[in-house]
Amino acid sequence: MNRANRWALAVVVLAAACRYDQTGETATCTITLSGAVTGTYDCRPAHVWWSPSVGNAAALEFEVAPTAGRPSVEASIGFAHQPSVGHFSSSESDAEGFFYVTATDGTFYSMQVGPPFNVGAFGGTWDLTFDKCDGPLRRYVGFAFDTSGSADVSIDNGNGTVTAHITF
Amino acid sequence: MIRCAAAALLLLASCRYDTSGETASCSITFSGDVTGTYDCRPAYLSWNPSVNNAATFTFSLPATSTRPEMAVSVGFHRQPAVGQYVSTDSDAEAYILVTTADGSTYGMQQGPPNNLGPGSGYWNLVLDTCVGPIRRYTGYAFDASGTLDFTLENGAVNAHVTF
Repeated sequence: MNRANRWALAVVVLAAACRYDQTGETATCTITLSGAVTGTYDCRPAHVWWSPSVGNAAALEFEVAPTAGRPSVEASIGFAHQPSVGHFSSSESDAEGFFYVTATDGTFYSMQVGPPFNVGAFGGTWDLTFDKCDGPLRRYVGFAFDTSGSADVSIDNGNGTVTAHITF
Repeated sequence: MIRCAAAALLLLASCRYDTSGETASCSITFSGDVTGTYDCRPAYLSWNPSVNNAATFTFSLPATSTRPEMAVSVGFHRQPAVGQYVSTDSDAEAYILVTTADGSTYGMQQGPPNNLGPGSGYWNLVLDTCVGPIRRYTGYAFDASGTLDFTLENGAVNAHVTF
């Protein structure tokens, strides 16, 4: 390989390494709701982040912005340690987060875990599995991770039962 | 060799992993029934033309022992740009819910699915910088700075966000 080719190769390799579209945002995110609220929706953009300086908090977070005929979902589920490949659940001592679903008729379903209640899961449970967890990637607030996996959430706050299965 | 090294440094510097749609700073100061100043990072500005052209400034933070829980998403249905956006705009949408340590909740929801107006709440978003669009998996992100002010439930809770 001559000098010009080596230079071109270096440029291509480094440009590819930037991967702007994979810095802590999951490549896919699909949520399927069942029970009192049903449907399958795109839940991107979804992010996984970890902030050692703010309670050591880590979370998978996403929002399904409501449109006509589509419920809204606000989700942030996580724990207080660095994310890694594995299984995590709302029954663990450092579990935290929330999961809100607002149906198209305005009925509100919510689950909260950890602080401020410190009573374990309130209004439901969650399970989160990271099949891939690449990082940490330096970000302003700490770190992001390129992840894939799944999550299951169950809500029963008295308004009815809603379950959610998320793949990302 | 020198040219290669220079090219490598230039390209690595241009990656800027830490500025792709995440605000550099985010600080929220509450007054009223909720008080205190908190770090609200990570916060994001995104725009998704394929999903109702929705653009949102959002942060969703679980509570910690010293911080209330915050789910904040305000937006509209067009590409973000430098300027001011308010809850009285015809395409405004918002979802804000704050839960305090005693379990009290304060919130507002505007736009679909209920097509409610801002009700007893109000928000005012100012984008001083809005650099992008930056291609992401689903639409675009923007590197933004500015302010967000919102009031919930007839002034029971007020918040000022700088990012």
